[in-house]
Amino acid sequence: MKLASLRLATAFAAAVLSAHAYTETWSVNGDSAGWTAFAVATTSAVQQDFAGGLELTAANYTSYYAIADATASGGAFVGSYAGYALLNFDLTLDAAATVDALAVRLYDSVSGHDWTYALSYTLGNLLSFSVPVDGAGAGWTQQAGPAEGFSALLGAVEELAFVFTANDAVDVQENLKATLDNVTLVAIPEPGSAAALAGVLALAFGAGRRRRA
Amino acid sequence: MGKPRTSHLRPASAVVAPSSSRHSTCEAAAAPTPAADENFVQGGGERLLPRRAFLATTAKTAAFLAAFQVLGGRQEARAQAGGFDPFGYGVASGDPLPDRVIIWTRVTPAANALPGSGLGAATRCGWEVARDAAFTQKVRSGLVTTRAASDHTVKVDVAGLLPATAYYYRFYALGVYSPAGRFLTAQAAGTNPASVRFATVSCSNYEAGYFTAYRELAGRDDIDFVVHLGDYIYEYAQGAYGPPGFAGVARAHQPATEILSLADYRQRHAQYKADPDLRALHQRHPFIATWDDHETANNAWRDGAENHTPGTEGAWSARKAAGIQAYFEWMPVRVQAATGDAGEVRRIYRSFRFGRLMELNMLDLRSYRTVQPGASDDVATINSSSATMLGAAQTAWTVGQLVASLGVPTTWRFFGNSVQIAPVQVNNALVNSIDPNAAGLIQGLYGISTTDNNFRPLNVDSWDGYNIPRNTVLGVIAGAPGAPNAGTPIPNCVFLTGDIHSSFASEIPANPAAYGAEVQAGGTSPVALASLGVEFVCTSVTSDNVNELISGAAIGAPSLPYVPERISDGMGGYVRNPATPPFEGLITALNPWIKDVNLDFHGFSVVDVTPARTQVDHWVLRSDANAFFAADPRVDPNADVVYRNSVQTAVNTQKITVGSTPLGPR
Repeated sequence: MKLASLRLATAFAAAVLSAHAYTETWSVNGDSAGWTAFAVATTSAVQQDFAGGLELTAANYTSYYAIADATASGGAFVGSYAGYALLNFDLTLDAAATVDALAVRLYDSVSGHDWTYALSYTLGNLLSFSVPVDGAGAGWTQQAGPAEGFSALLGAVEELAFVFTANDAVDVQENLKATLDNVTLVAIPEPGSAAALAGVLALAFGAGRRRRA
Repeated sequence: MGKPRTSHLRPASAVVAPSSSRHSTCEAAAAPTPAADENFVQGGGERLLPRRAFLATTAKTAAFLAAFQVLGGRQEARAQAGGFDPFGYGVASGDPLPDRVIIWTRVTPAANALPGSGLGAATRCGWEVARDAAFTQKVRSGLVTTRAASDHTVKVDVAGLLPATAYYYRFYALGVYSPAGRFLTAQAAGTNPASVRFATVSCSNYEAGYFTAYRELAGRDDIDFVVHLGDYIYEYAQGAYGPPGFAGVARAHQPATEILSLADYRQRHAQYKADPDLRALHQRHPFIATWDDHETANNAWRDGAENHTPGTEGAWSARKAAGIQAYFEWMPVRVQAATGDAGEVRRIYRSFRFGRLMELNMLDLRSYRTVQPGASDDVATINSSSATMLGAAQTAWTVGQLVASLGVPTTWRFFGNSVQIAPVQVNNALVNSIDPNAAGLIQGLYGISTTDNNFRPLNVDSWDGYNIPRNTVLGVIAGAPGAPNAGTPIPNCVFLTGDIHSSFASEIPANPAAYGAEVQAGGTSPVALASLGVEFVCTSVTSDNVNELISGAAIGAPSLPYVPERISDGMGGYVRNPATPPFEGLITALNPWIKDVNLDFHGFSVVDVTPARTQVDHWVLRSDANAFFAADPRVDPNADVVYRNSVQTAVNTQKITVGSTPLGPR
């Protein structure tokens, strides 16, 4: 009885969240369709599927972008971000890489909105990031676009990109290897859904308390 | 005359930039390819055009140009490898605010993806802005996607910059960097700048000659930005505009026909942008631009244009939309919120502020205006109360800007005003009494009947044809009854104007008919202020003026030969075209508020603004001063640009003085 109740509650909670979240997780047989790379570099960038993540490599770059395109899987990150609260992802930077700046970038070519969120990182470690994508725009910096708030961009995101930058002069000789995985847009719980979830949890807790009592 | 060139602008050590060679290009729409020869460029005909030195003044500029050379060299190598130049139309910046600036380029993604072609895949283009020419101190960067839908132009409104600060910018696509450009942001709102210095230019007809004026400005280190007052391109077919026997000979418009479609306007813009002198100027200084008529068609108004024939050239609304779309694609101009006013394709009128020293309101005098009067004696239309120059929304905005400036510490209120606002009138009886020989020329040039002895405006396409709309604006400046600021005149209004291919410095009379009397009576009451402000008109970069028009056809004497720009005195100076000074004398005699006029030079003006005064220096083209009979400097690749004179208005006087001391270094 107790087990059945808890299982039901968990399933309900998952259903509420999955309606408003999207996760891109790469596996051994992962597919990079819907993602492209752009390198401000003198040699072309390479993008590969990789066991356990999307592997990105580039040489001689000054800036490197891994971009979710409006196609296939990456398309899930293109469009309105209304209703989302967080962008979560995991990143591993190869210890051999030299990166001076790491950022998440949202861009809309129609309005020209271009905002980035700076991340702090440590080479070699697997880092789990959680970046706010609500209308408040805390921590985001406008690179370009009209003098409007961050929230104006969130209605029509055309590109989500992960940006690696080396602050070197023209002829940098840099190499990058990074692995990106578990990119997830996490929804803002809607009042109704949150109430329902709270009710289910309350029910489960209540049942437990009754049983113990 | 024969003023020496001011030495502070001409350093001993010249830096030669790689892209300053002149292309006598006839393949306008083609992506320009780098010149093969270091010193000479093959002209459109058999001529070899000597490469023009590109001069810099300070070490800062020298360093910038040195960096530019490195990048340019790299770009050339790659461009040649690929068979085309991805950044052949250069880079540009514009609309500087204290915290943001527009940067621009056009990416050519494939050899066949020419401007106006509609060809070429969506292409990602990176951009970066740095504090230094080597791009080691990057402050902003990003990536844009450009497509055939915008003719592969790239326009980024770079945000988050520091005020009154120099930055460098460049683009990256298809494996190459663009040349690096440079801009200066505007001063912060609450500050008190010691000075702001900028250039004004207008009327650059490609077929009428080389853009030597642009080249000279690209070498000037003392200006903060360039104000373009319109007629940046011309819409005419090859050879359709210019002095008889000259037009199109030096370099011909592309496409060859009059431009009508979106593809046509894009190709024409591309041809102008490919000009090495204009490219150098855009690269070096930010522009603040507005359009006049030739960005669409001659004497454009809300619903038509003199040079538009709906029966054979389609609907005016379609052509206007095409011209304005191409303009916004190809110019570093910031998009403004639409007003929905009748005639608006896109709103371009907008405002800039440089601390407490000055505000600059750039006007749109073409999108919304009602049709021009039919002629100088069309009194009913000239005085029509239903006429508009600005449209309802822009009129309200202009009045609002003026009135609001009373509430913010503001010394000077500038207007980027494409057509003349000070009256320019003639009266046959007076003309005949002063100079009977000149009378025929004036009457022929301007189409005024020889039997009409009333005062008539020379040009009804200017504000002179729109009396009531002009009175609305001037009434606010005067603080006239009925204005929101009634009883409080607004001082230090300065109109910066182009359009008429000649330079004027005018006071703006509150009452033209009584101007002299008012001055003598010392009219000091606010409403009867003798002069409401001043207007500085810059001459054309190349477009014909009265000097060229006296070639015959325009005055009904086609056999009269084309008069060259000027005849040298053979001793390093020059004498004027003898035909033009009489005109100038008549204009100032009949319009006493006009203090300086020159009808036969081409070049640019430099405006220097300080809390105490605004001074405008006129710089003009000159051919070899040692030749007795010099060539037209507009088609002389070796032409110089020399100082002519200065005009000045002291703060709170609304009056003009003429001088001969050029601005010094800043």
